[in-house]
Amino acid sequence: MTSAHISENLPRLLTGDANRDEVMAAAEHLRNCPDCQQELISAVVAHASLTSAHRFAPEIVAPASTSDDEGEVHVDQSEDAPLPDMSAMFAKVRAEASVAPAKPQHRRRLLAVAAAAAVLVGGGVTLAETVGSSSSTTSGQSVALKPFGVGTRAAEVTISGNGRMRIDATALPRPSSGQTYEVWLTDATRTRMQSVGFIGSDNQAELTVSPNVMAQYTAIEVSRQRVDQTVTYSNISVLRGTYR
Amino acid sequence: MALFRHEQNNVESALADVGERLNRGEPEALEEAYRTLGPLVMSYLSRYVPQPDVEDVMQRVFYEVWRVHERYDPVQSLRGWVLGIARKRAIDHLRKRRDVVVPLDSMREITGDDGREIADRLVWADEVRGALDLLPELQREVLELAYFSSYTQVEISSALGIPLGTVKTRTARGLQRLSGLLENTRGQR
Repeated sequence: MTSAHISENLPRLLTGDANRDEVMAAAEHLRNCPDCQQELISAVVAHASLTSAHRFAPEIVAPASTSDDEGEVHVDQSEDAPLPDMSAMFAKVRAEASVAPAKPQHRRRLLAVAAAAAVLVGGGVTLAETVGSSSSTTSGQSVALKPFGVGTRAAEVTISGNGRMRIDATALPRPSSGQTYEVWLTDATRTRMQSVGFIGSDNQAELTVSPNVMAQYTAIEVSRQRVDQTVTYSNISVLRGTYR
Repeated sequence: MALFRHEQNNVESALADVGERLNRGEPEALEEAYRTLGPLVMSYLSRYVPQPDVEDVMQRVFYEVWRVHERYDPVQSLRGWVLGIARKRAIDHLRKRRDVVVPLDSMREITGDDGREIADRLVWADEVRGALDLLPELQREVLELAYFSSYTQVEISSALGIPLGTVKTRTARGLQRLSGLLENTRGQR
């Protein structure tokens, strides 16, 4: 090998930036330089991957490429298209898993309840999603949920700035067989109630609710629901607290 | 290379962890899978399913992911497995849509080898996106301008206000690093 390594020129060779003299010089060098041959292999893998991805799936690999008035192209990953809201389906799944994971007949019943709650109360709009128990949360607004309706025990909700809602209702009695606790957003008049999820069998829950949705309501309420009930809100609330 | 492997482990291990927890029946894993793979599935479905129906088919796909979660082998690519389900549900949906005209080419494409080929391409693109996100910002920036915006190195130099030599260095190092990340992704299967 008689010339300097060309690793920094490999991208230009692959993208067509290099002129003929550069290409020919690079070819001569590559035939005799094992180091640059190895670098070329890596460059080809990355180049082919980027080119294929952008050719066949630009919406995935560069989802927010935009052009301004002067034709300048910008890539902004922060403008990804939002995903459809599937929280009603997730609520069904959580209910299946938390209430009767080993009993298919209960799972089917609860699925119907959750679906009805999502459609009849929320008009099909889905709002909440459970986050993993290991997710970190920042300290945020603490909301006391006081006994309400038939309830006799208090609970607490911590709402973080990122929309995460952690509910500690361990003071509540464990729901009896065939029952579960459901979390709602509501207002002062209680004329609107929006289901945002269920409390787990350990009487705790972590939910994520869009701040925009939170802004449409003023209070959190927890009701006791029968899992084989085909109605929406049971009218049996046990907790209530105002968050704004 | 040890650093690449560690970084890629963070991403691919996270996805593998989601797959393992999904296999065990943890509902939170389904939601994480949706957040991670939802854009990929939506992109695939949008190629074949009429736009007003995409959300409905998306919901069917992820509910089936949950319903058959025990069949997922964590050794498999979670991306590929989920997209396989998406392909089947899209085909079902197109066959049932007798009230509207479904383009014959679209039906032929998704049911044939092309459907699998496109699914593989999308999985690959998703892996590339994930690897790009692991690159240092300065390297990712020049690669995105070069490959997604068709800038020459001279144009990148001008646009970013940096010397051409710096553009060459960042691009070369970015490609080397990206290659390591991508090859490691495959190696973890």
